[in-house]
Amino acid sequence: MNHLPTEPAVDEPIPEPEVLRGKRFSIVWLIPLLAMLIGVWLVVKTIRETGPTITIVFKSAEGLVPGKTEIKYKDVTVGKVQRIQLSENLSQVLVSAAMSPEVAAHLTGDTLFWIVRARLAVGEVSGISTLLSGAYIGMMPGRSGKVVDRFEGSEKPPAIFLDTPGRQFNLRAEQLGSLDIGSPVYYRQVKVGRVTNVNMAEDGTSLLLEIFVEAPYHRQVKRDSRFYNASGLDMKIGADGVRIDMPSLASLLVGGISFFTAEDIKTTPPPAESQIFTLYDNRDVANAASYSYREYYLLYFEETVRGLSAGAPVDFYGIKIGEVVSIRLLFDQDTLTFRIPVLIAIEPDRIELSGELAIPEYEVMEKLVEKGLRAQQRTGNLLTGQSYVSLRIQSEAEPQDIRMGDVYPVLPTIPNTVEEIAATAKRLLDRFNHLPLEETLEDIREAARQVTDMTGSKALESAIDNIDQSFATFKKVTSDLNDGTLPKVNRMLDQAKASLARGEEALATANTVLGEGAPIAYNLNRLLLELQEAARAVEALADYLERHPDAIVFGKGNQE
Amino acid sequence: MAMTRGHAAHTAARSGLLNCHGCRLLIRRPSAAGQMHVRCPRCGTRLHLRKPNSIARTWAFLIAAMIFYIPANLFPVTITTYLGSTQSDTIMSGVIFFMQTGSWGIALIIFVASIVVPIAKLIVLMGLLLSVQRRSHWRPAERTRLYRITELVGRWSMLDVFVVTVLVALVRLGYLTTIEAGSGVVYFAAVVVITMIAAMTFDPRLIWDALEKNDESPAH
Repeated sequence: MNHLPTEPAVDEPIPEPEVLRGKRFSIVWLIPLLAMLIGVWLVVKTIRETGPTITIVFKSAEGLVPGKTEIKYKDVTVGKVQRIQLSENLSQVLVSAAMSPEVAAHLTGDTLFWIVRARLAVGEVSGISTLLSGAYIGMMPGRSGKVVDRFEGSEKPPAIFLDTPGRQFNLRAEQLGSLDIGSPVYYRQVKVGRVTNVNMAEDGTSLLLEIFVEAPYHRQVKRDSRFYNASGLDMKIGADGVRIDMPSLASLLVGGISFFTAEDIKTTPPPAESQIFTLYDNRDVANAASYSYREYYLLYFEETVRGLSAGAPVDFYGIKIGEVVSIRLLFDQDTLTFRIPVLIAIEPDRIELSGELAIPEYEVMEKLVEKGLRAQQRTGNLLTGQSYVSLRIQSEAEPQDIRMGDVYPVLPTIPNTVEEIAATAKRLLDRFNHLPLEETLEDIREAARQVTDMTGSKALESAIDNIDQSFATFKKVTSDLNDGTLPKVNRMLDQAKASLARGEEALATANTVLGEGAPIAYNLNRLLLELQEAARAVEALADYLERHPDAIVFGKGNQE
Repeated sequence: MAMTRGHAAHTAARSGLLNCHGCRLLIRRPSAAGQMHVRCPRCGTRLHLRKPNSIARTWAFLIAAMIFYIPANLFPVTITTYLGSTQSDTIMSGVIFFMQTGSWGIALIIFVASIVVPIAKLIVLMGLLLSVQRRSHWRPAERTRLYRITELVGRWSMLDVFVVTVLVALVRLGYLTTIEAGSGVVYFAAVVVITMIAAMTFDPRLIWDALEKNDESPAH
């Protein structure tokens, strides 16, 4: 403040400044250059971070917010919903989402999208975090196929993720019970899978369930494994008391499926690709249903099937290997004939194999038919007229092939045994007809005449005399025996009687010594009782000594 | 200033003098006014008649600010996590949010402080630079006032940055609500700071130089 510019310094000689050589370089231009570089870097980064935009079709956009709802895979955000529109016919919601580039290559046609909301179900609570944060879209990347940009989203999460190792099986059930999609599948009461889908069979006669069994438990499902509905309580009161079968508490509430494989001599093969298991109502039914794998064949009979009914056994060498499933009557319009198609089910597991099966199963039957396997209706019970189907190998049968019907292969048949008997009887009668009866009668008559001639001859009389003499000799021998031998035998018997009486006396004496009330026995009893008491006293002493070892030295002392 | 608008104004430059801006010593202007640097003989401060290289520097800062202005508006300034759901807001989306929720006052403040002022500053500085380069004689007093306002108001654009920093520091309610600063804030702060520097490097005396009769090119 002392040197204000208003100071009258103008009159003084104004000093010359020092003059320096200047350098002409301005680093200020580095700043816009830097800004430019940052700008370029940002642009490049943004472009590189931009992934594809996809469209997901949902039924409803409940809980989805454009610009906010995220798409997550394994809880990692891989995209964001940008726009939500209605489809042209207003029936669906089109959700556009910007995906991050790292999942771009995995957005194949089988990619799954679903909306994750809080789900409360018995046995399962999921998506609780969405209660506060709002719904998000879950994603399961596809495994193969072309990359597409339009997907069908589902409202529910998939029951099984694509990358879960395991295997899917199909079950057929009469009724659903308390099962539903997501119901657990148990093996030895361990949860190994769940129901993934439930469909009505096309003809409405049954329900088809798809279940997924996770690895490694899916190997426990064998071809003759039996599945049963493990829901609910199974209570039985029987001769052996009350029996309660209860699965886990969760399955008691939400239902579940259990399966088991019957113990067997042989190892059972894994199930066929298209095998449909039967879902039994409970374990007992499943146990009773012995063989779940069945092969169906059709038989055409042309004779009466009276006595044959559904459930009748199919036997082979007298052993039941299956049963009759259904019997119908078929009228052939062209030939005006009736035929009876009989559907039988054969349970191949009832037949044991020598070693591994070398040829495919369907070829086995073909080979057997070539060898002469035929089906035949037979009467099993002559009184009731119940009949059954018998499979037998007739090597002399004329060769026939197994042929494919509309649905089932058709086995060749041979006529009923009754018809067979009739045929045999007819053959027999025919033979009778051809017998030379007249000539035979002539021969007989001739023989009779010769006999008459013989009885009237001399030789016969002398023969009778000889016989008389023989009888006389015999009589003499027997009277000798009476006089000499018999009295000796009588004497011997008397002696034996006397010795027996003496033996009896000896026994009576013994009885007075040893019998009940006899002094020896009484004394013995007393001795035993006293010994028992002595043993008890020793036991008490030992017990006391164990607790008071010092009693040996100090005596018993007080009660203490 | 308005009084001295006349052509025959007495300025130090005209009198062949220099004023040391360190110690206010009046110094005779060196005769050989080339690309030289001049030092005050008393305090040693570097002397120049006008701010050195003013126009080029201002342009440089201005261009940098304009480049940064783009990401400042495109990138989010706040990332709000409210009960698990995140929402990122740019400056403009924040303004729109406040408008939609009825807080017109706040919306206006943010709009003016964060959008109007930076743009106005950029435009004003650009206009001043162009007018100086074209040696415009148009309304030098108004242009000077414009410059003064620009310099004065520039720092208030930092308001937005302060709001964000305060919010980030205060709103840390764990899962309930968290606010994080987005990358846009950095660029916005860069815009504000760089425009302030640009305003500082601009020399308003250049506006008046064009009016002076003796068309002596001012030394740097």
